[in-house]
Order: sequence, then C-alpha cells, then structure tokens
Amino acid sequence: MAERRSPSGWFEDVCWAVANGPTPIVLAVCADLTALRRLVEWLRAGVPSLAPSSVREIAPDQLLQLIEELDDGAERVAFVVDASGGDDAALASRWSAWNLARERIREGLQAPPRRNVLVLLVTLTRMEDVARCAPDLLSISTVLTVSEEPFAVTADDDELLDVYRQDQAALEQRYGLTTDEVMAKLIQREPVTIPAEDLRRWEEIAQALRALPPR
Amino acid sequence: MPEHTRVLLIGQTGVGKSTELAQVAADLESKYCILFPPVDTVLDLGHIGWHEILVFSARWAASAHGMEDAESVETLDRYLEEPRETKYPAIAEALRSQLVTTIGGPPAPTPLQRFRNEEAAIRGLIAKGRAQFWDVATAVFGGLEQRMGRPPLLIIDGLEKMPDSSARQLFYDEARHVRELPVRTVVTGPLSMSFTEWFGDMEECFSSVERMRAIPPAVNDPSSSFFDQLASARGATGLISTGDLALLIHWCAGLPRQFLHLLGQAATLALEGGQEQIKRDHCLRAAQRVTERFQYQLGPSDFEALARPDSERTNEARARLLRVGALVEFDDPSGGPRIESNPLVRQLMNRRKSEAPRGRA
Repeated sequence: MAERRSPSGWFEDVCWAVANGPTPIVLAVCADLTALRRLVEWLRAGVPSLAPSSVREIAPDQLLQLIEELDDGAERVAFVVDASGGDDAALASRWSAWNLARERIREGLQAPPRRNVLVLLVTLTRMEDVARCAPDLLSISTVLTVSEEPFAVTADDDELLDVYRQDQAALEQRYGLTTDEVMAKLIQREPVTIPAEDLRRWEEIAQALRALPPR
Repeated sequence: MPEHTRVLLIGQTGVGKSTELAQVAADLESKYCILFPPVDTVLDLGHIGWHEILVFSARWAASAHGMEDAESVETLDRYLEEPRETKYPAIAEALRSQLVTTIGGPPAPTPLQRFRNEEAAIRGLIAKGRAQFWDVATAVFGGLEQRMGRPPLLIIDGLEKMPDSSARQLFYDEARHVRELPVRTVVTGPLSMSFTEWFGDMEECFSSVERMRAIPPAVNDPSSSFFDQLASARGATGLISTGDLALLIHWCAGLPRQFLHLLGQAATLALEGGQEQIKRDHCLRAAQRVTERFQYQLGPSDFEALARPDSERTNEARARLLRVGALVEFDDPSGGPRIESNPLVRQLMNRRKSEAPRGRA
C-alpha cells in the first residue's frame, strides 16, 4: 500500500462534493470512527445549506435495495452510509457486491429529476481492504481523505506554494497591506475597501498558508 | 453494415466509448432500429453469457417498442416465469393468471423486473433451456424488424467493466455464440483482452474489432481542440485561463472522463473559495483530488510495475494498471499503440521518489 499524504480535504469539502461535485458517488476516508461520526453530523448541517436537499443515513445492507426502489419524489437526497463496520469478511463481501453493482448504483442515483448523491464513509484503517475489493467503484467516485481542519498547504508542495505566494504578493502590492493586516481587520470587523472577490481570494490564500511559518 | 455485422469495440474506461456509441446510434437511427439495452446495470457482469444478453435485450426491446402483445414476446414471458409443478397442466394453463393471488405488498414483478429482482434465478432458468430461449429471443427480434420496418441494431455498452475471468468466459469460451447472434451487434469489451494469447482466436468471431485509444493532447493538436470544445460545452469557457485549461488538458491523458473530473473538481474548489474564476491553485488541488484514489488503488508492486518499461511488465500487471487508469493506451502518431503512465500517477511516482530518501515512502 502506498504512502498516504496528509488529508487533502476537510469536512466542508465533502459537503461541496455532495452539492456540486462531478460524481454522484463520494467516498470520504476519515482518520477514525470518531471523526467519521462527526462528519455525519457535519453533513447533516452543511449539505442542506449548500443545495436544496436532505441527508439520510442508511445502513449498508439497505443500499442496493434502496437504489432499486428510489421514487421520483421532488427532494434531492444525499444518502450517507457508514461503510466501515463489520468484520473483515462482511466488509469484503459488501464492498465486492457494491463494486459489481456500481453502474446500477450510479444510474439509480442519477435518474432525473433528483440526481441523488451517495456518500460512503470509511476509516483509514479499512481503506486498504476497500481499495482491494472495490477498485472499479473507486474509479467512478470522488475519493477524499478528510480531516476536521480546513486544507492547508505544506512546505513540501512547492508548486502549489508558489502559486499561493505569487497571488498573495500581488494582492499585498495592489492594496498596500500585508496579509496579516487584512486578516486582523476582518477579525476585528474593521471596514476594508477591497472588492469582495479579491477579499475572498485573500482569505482563501491566508487559510491555505496558515500552517507555514511567517516569511 | 451487412446483416452479420458483429463489431467489438475495446478501449479502457473513460476513453469515450459510450460517447462514440451514442454518436453512432444518432447517425444510424434512420436506417436501423437502435437498441441500447442497459445490460451492464441489470445483469451481473461477473456471470454473464450471450444467452442472458440476448434474452434480456429481446425482452427490453419488446418493452421499449410496445411489443408486449406479440406472440413471441408472450412465449418469452412464459419461459421467464418460475416453473411450477402441476398434475393438471390443461387446467393450470387455463387458470394461469388466477392461480396466485396476493393481497398487499408489492405487485408481482413484470418479466423485465424479474431480471432486476432475481438475476441469478433467471440465469438458472435460461441455463435449463438455452436453445429454447435463444430461439424465442430470435423470434422477438424478427417481430421487431417487421413492426419497425427496419432491422434492429443492438448496442451493448459497458462490458469493458467485466472482470478478466468473466471476459474470457464470454468472449473466448462462448465465442461461437457471437457468430450466431440474430441481429447486427456492436459490443464493448475490456482492453486487457487484447494482451491475452486467446485474443487472436476470439477476433475471428467478430466481423471487425475496433480499438479506441486516448490521443495524447498537445498544444495545437486537434485533440486539444476537442477538449476545448468539451470545456466550452460544460460552460467553462471564460471561467478558466487558456494556460490553466491547457494544464488540465495535459493532465487528462487524453481521457475525456478524467478531463471532466479535473474540470469539475477545479470548478467546485473555485466555488468553495467564493471565486468566480478557476485559478491555478484550484487546478493543482483538483489534480491532487483526482489522484487521491490512485494512492489507495496502487500498492508497492503496482508502483514497481509502473516504473518498468512496458515490455517488461507482465500481462496481468499491465491489465490491472490499465483497468484502474494508472496506465493509458495512447494512439502513437507513428501508428499502433503506446502505453504510458497516467500523468497524474507520474506525479505520485515522482513524489514517492522524492519522499523515499526522507524515509516517508
């Protein structure tokens, strides 16, 4: 099994993947069961705020049956399945069955008008088995290794770091303020005369660079 | 397209086979009765045979074209019913619809719903009378041609997702049935078959074998304009700079699905950051996201196989890496195929190499 990088996403990314992501199946890999339960709560609150939809937690054994019986109700549903449980044999048999039925699941979810989404939650320790049993399902899913913390770029990621640094420098030069000064103004709710689009970009950059030592 | 046309279309997942088939269907709609049965979503690709494909396709076509009342379809429906023992067949036949009465619960399934509910049971039933089922399905297709006034063209998409062992069973062990198929047929199959020793024998059963490969996108290359058009069709023009779009096109390895996945992820990240434009960092992070699955799908032996030249890879390793998309089969400008690692996987390999000296890989 390959080396795992640090999580490339956070809980909110899963909400966005459900609301606007490119695939109807999202596989979120959590550090442990506690984080997994927290993610479920996060999804319950976050998904309806991003798109008119509801979140429904279902048992793994219900999934295939439920896909067969999806009605054409008006509300879009994000089905959330904690797919980490059970012993090794149960996990392998469940994921192998989903792997075989992946197209049926995908088509069932995408049937208009609702275009439902399925969120499969799994812990990092079980992911090795999942990848072995369901390689094709992974290929058609959005796979996100998530933590509770928003994304932050690391010093190792030279290319991404360069982009953020360049954009940061451009903003600082354009407005004659440092990033720290702007963020302090925002925290203290002081007025700033920066267009909203640039301000959002600046916040995005500041958030991504927060784990690095100051220049 | 002569009467005995049996085309096999192979290519790896995400290369654009379904899009191509949809185009073929649109082009030929006036000449043929196009049938696109959802074989891959209803039948179990791990245990599929030509008889199941033919019978399901015939029954699906009958439903799709309002042929429920045709005699051949009624016969097929009777064959698909659960057999029941009776001492008085004449009375049982006369009372067929009255014999079972259920109150409450879901209604009795239609023959097509039985395929979805009890796929294994139907498979067992067909195995008991393969010739009978084949003949009645043939009759259904004959009736369809008469009713529609044009010959049917059966397009079976999605079979490239079959496990390798099942592909051998269907395309090689049962290859003789391909020649007997009663309709013009276009069927997709897994690319990995083409690396097996039995592929040549199997090819003879088809009137032609077409191979779809990714086209390595390059600047000013016609394939780049294809991806430009794809981005435009998705409303991305004006939301991403030409340079960043070129970067996504480079990373997509000529695979339309991977391109759309990258573009979709980049757009989601831009939205999430409250931006109206997709920026370079969104593209870089989108690439990380799309690469994420490879970290779980590829183990040390896969990375070892990826690092070798293709001539030194085993067939099994090559088939597996193509199946997960870690390798991509390109159309070489000099003709023939060229197999290279997916650019996203290459990034992962480079990272592993750079992390190894620090003891992290």
